[in-house]
Amino acid sequence: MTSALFAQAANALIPPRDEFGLPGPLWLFHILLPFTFVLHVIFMNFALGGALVLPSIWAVGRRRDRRDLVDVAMTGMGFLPIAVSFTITTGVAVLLFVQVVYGHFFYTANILLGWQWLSLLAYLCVAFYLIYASQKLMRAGRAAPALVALVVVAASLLMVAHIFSNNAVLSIRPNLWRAMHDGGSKHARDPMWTPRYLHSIVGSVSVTGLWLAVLGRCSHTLHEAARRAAVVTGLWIALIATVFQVAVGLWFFVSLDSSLQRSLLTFSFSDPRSMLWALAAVGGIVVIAVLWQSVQTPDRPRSVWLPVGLLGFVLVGMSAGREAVRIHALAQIPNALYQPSDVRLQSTPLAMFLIALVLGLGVVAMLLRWMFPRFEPSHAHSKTAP
Amino acid sequence: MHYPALSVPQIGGGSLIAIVAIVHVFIAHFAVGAGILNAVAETLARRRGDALLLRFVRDSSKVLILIPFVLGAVTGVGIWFTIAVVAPRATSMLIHNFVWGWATEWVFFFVEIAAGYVYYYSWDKLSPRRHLIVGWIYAGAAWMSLVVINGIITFMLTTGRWQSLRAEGRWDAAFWYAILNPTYWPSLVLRTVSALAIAGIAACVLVHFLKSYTRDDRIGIIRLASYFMLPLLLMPPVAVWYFFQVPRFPRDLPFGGSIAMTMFFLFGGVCSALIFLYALGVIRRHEHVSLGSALMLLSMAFVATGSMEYVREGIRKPYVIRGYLWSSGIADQPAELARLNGEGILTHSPWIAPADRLARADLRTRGEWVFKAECIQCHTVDGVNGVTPLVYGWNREMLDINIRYLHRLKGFMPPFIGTDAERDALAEYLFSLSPTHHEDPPIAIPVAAVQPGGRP
Repeated sequence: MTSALFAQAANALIPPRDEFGLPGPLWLFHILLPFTFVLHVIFMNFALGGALVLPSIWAVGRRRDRRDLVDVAMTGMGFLPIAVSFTITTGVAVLLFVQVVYGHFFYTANILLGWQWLSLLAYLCVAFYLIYASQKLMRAGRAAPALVALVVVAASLLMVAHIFSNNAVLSIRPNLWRAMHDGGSKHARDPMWTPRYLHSIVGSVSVTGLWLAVLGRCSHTLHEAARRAAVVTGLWIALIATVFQVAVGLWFFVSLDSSLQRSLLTFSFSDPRSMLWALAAVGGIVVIAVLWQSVQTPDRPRSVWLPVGLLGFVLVGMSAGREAVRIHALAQIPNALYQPSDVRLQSTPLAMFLIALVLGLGVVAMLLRWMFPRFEPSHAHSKTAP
Repeated sequence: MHYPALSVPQIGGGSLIAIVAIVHVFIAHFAVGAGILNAVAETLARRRGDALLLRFVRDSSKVLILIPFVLGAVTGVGIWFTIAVVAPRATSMLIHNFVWGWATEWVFFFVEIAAGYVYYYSWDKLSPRRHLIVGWIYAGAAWMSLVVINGIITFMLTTGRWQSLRAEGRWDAAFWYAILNPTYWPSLVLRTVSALAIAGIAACVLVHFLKSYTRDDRIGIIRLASYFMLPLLLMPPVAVWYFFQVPRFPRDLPFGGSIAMTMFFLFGGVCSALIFLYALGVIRRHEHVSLGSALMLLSMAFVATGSMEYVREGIRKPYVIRGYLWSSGIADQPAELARLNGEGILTHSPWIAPADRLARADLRTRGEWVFKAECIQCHTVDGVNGVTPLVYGWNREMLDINIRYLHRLKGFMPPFIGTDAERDALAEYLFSLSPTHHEDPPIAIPVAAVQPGGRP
């Protein structure tokens, strides 16, 4: 009875759904949100994981006098600002669609985090500019200040992940709101917080490992030894991180309410999200087995591309699972979620967006084709080490 | 009202939005203008075989990566973050009306960023023709994102037929009339002109920071950049066009109706005029512009942009979305007003006035809650736009009359919404803030000092 009253009081704090309703079908937003989220995490994982992994490779390479590792780290870091830039760019789309479907929860979480939420912008700016600064310092051979700058970059991006974890937990936990508002604490105290945060960090390391392997396979600027080092090091990093990731994922799953656990384990075709999540969870185990094979035979083309494909699928499935958890958590609150009856379809503006999206993706594909005309495994164009 | 209130001490939520927005608008306009300037300059350089100009375009393309792609993108996200925490209801309304507009704008933004990186990294990889195409793709995508976003920004002041079309359930038509609202076209011209001028000025600054350019080299580049400031000549007639589309009350504010608006409008106008005249002089006399002068021009452009943005935001008051949503976050809709005036604003503000504490709260506390529910989006207590100096010396009766007839006494203020008891509570709270409540007690004049007849 007490918990029912508590829930009722918490529900009273939930702002109403927007009076203008949804300008498109609900199912479309439920596709667009995870789709853009997957795009976002691909870049975000390399930005965060790269900030953690690449300086370590660079430092190890310098200490052991391994020129190949130093070159791999330097080349990888050249992509870091682009990764951060596209993390923000793709994140804007996620931010947009999350506001449409869950805005009343999202805004409340933002306001409760207050200055912590806004400080995210400062962390991003600091990380962004220090990446450029560290590259300049590295090229100038100033190792110590470069490492300090990279540590600040990593710390800043970890803070960004910390704040987003707070926001994500608060957005689906209205029962935490009142205590947070009155108590002044700016940390979402919930059993799922720690595994959720770790899941994002360890996952980013795993994805970065595969980015490095792809870099080794496709780079035409790295010399032969560095390319092989990138593949081998990347695959090992991906393997070790994925093993940890499965363990952290299990912890994350156990930390969820039993009702949320059940919702993920329904295996119903009526809810493709939980199906996708379940397949992705199995896929995570398969990735470990495939990576183990890959590190034994890193020179085979499929040693890189198979785990990349599988991990891509796991990312899609995990994003779907994330959405399933959110929907099931919020569906327990009366009138919290938009219904199909809330749709006020704007068909021609929607058509404008879809046409722009197709054309835009086409233009980007053309640009990439121009930029990387020989996007193929680079073993055919091997260069010898200088 | 439905959301918790974020306390922004001293500067207030409105100023926070203004700071982030002005910085972003300036950088975003620079990104649009610089894209066009780069594309035009590269086209000219390739046609004329001008190696110096080509070198300048190449050297300056790094600035695109370092400023708009970092600071511009982060402050762009920053605007979303700040408006959402300061005015969540208005943000939600805009999102739910214009999500497809914003999504389309995001596509152009995505293309812009991709093209920008390819442009910068492909100088030695692509053929001149392809590189030029990439430059124009960047310029086109950046300008198109302005084309879309301009509709949403102008809508907030001139909503056109949006309300009536919505009421008829014509959602498609409502969207297009809202985007292509009465001030859409003049505003698009003004912003494009402003973007070109900012890019031209930025080129004058940048040329001083690039190494191995002689004075003559700089003069040539500055002269080309100055041509991008000349469209500022269009500003006065287009501004007249713009203001003719604006309703009477907001139009009067920058023309003497409000001292602050008039002052900022003058700042913007004078700075733009001076930049234009300076550019004209540079072109006619083949003059060199020193770094100091270029930086001064850039500062003036910033002041002009900030001032005009301030005026645009300011004349929208007392609304956030004109005719629909007051700046207090309450909808100017009969059903909502009747409900809040009948049931009270505090019963609908669970974050500010928790139900279990509402009945026990004293008059002043309830007044403070009403202040947080209705006023805090624009006002602080004693910081920027603080109420304390505004109520200096007022007694309860004056406060009561001012709150009761707020929107009639001051046209830029929304009406007070709530019950009579809540109005009394707000008056009590404001009275407690009035400095005369604590200081400057009346000076007692000794009776003996007063002469017969009432004269001292």
